[in-house]
Amino acid sequence: MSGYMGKILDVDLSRNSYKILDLDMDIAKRFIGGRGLGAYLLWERLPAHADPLDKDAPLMFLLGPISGLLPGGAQLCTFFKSPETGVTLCHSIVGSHFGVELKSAGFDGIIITGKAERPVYLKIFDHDISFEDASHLWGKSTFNTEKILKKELNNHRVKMLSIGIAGENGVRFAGIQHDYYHSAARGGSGCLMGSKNLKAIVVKGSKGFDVAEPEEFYKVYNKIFEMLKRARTEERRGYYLVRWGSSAGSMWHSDVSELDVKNYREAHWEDIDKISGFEFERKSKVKNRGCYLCPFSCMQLGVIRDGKHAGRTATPDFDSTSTIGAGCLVTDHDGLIYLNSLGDELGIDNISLGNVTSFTMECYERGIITKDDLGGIDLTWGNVEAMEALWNLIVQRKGIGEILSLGVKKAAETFGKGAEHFAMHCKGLEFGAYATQAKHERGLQFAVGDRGGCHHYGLTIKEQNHRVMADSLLVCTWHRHFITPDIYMDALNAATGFNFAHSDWDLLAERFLILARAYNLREGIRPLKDDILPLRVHNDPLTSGPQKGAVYPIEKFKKDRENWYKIRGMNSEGIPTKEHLKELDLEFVIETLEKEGLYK
Amino acid sequence: MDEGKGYRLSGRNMEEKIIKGFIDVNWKLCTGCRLCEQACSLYHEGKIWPEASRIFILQFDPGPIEIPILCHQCSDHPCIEACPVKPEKAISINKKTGAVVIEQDKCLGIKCGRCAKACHHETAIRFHPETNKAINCDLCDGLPECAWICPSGALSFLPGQTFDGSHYAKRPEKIASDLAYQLFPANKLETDKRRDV
Repeated sequence: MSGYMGKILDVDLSRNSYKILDLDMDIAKRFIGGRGLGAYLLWERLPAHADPLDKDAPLMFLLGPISGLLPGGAQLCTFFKSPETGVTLCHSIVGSHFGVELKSAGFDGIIITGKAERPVYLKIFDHDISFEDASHLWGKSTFNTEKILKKELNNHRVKMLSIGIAGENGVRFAGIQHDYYHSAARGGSGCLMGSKNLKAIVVKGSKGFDVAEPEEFYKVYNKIFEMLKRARTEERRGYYLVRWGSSAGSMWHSDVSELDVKNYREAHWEDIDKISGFEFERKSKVKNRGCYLCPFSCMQLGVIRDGKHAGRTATPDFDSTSTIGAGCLVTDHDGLIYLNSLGDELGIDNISLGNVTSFTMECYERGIITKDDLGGIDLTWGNVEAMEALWNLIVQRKGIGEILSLGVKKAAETFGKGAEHFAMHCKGLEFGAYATQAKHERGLQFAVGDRGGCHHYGLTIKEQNHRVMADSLLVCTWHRHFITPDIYMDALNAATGFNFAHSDWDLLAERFLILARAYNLREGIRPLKDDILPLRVHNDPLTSGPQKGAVYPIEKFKKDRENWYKIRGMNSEGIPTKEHLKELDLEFVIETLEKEGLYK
Repeated sequence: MDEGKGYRLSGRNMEEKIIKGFIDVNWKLCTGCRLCEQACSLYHEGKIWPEASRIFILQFDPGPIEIPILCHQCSDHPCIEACPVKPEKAISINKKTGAVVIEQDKCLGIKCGRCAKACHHETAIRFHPETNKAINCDLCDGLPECAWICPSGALSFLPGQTFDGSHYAKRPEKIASDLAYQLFPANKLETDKRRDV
């Protein structure tokens, strides 16, 4: 076996049992891994219209053929039906070291079904697998869970995924944390893991990795390493990732009017310097931390130097700096670092959490909800203490937190009084930190993205293809700026012995994207009704910044959307044509889509 | 010596002039990326095999902080002292590189484990995941791959022997706590007081 380890761990928590399945190599060749394989497995394993929190709903952790093998190949793909949107599939990618450790243990993935009677954690030491009691960990933060387990196991090299209080309590946008600050959080992976009474997964492996054509593979490896190493100093993105990390991006996105400011009301913010990457680098930065094999190591580890939260460490990134910071108009740098770290500790999607918070702030400002509704919290813009108090309600699902823990879509439906106008989500998943009044391609991406208002889908066809392939091969999507698809295809072929042509990159990508769309159609998504944007994007022109006055007119949006459908081989209603499905070797979905009445 | 067994990512070959030297670790620059483990295992094992790497990264709280662990070639060689193999010990010094090398054929393996216990660094000698024999850093026969690949500058190969290796070879826990003292505000660490809710 080359590239792949050839085994999938299939765990049933209801019976405390597991099976080690052989990876079907025909399927592997068709769907590669990660996001591609995940869509296929979810289609096969979860019956149509099933409840995402059904005890038999699978929670999958998938790798790819070159993950763990080359610089950038640190990623792990979490795949499941989203408890937050209730309908769409969801993938959530996390970097750092869990993926390589799982591969070292000899697996290409874990599929978890069932529900444990009591809280457990799963221990995977190579093929020695056990279900351990986790009752002493229940109620612990993700940081403390990692610390306690590492101490108990007396091992400084184990890697783990864990959920925090948010996941235990069923917050719909709870995430899974890894290595303290890395999250696979979008769409509610932690909520699903919590519903299964699974507190953590600990993994330690000892196997080495074989590749089909070593000479060729290590040649490609060296090329990738050299390109990335050069990019550290010679490419602007490489340089800024190493120097400031992604949180510096919030300044540049503000400069070009596409940053989430004040719940997406504005896109440019004068105060961005108070909280973004430069400020962090000057005040708090301690060192860079990296994912497995990455010469960039763009995670910026920092510490709050004094004040109430002195000593707390954090690694703020672009998304959380933007949604929790600019989105909620937080100008207190240390306060933002604290909130950022708190979100990781509670085990919650900081992007959705920032969105929910800014949405609630706007509701409060407009009088849609009152101080009494908030349990006495004076939730004014930028009020860090009030935000912390609100988050406590959300993770414990108490008071207004019960409603807010379902995400902005459900909260807006409950609050009414026009709150839907500025509930910034698509298909139930909150926007990923970009205001789209001036940057229309970002709006289109949110509308058509397969997991909802997703910033990770890609702006152009080329970018979409690259992202889905990177998430299937499990390489870092940031590296798309430095490494071309051809190089990855060479690596894939050399690792596995497959003989893909360079041009198969686009074919595979299209296959994965269209399969994901077919899945969502099966579950009830109807594109013309669901591939839409909140009214704020169309109706609330920006009032400041270089793009003052900009909106995304609804007619233009509809035209852009139809054009995208056409390029992607769909009809004007956003349904993939049967011919296109056949071209992509996806005939098996046609019958189901016919039953759904999509081809009248 | 298993010269030529694997791949040198650096592309260097043994025709290059070998200079005796040592690997310096600048702990605070380590990002924990483990490229060193990969380069090491590729040279020694011919494939990527983090658990069989002669250099490896341990993670400590708070921070977390990553500490690269490798043999620092102490001049008093407690490992050689401890080796019970007779008449010739399994551990010796390579004359060309000055590195401590463990002859895999002679080594009694993890059941013996005396060299590992004697190590000043406590962890620099580990056991091969497949053969269970003791393994350590042999400076890649004089051209260390880890120092070549390290992108952050945490590892460097310095010619000559300025300091005795034992100055480096402290307990990893001590290195981590000293580093935390430097990197984070002293006596203010909140990590042990963190709330769970």
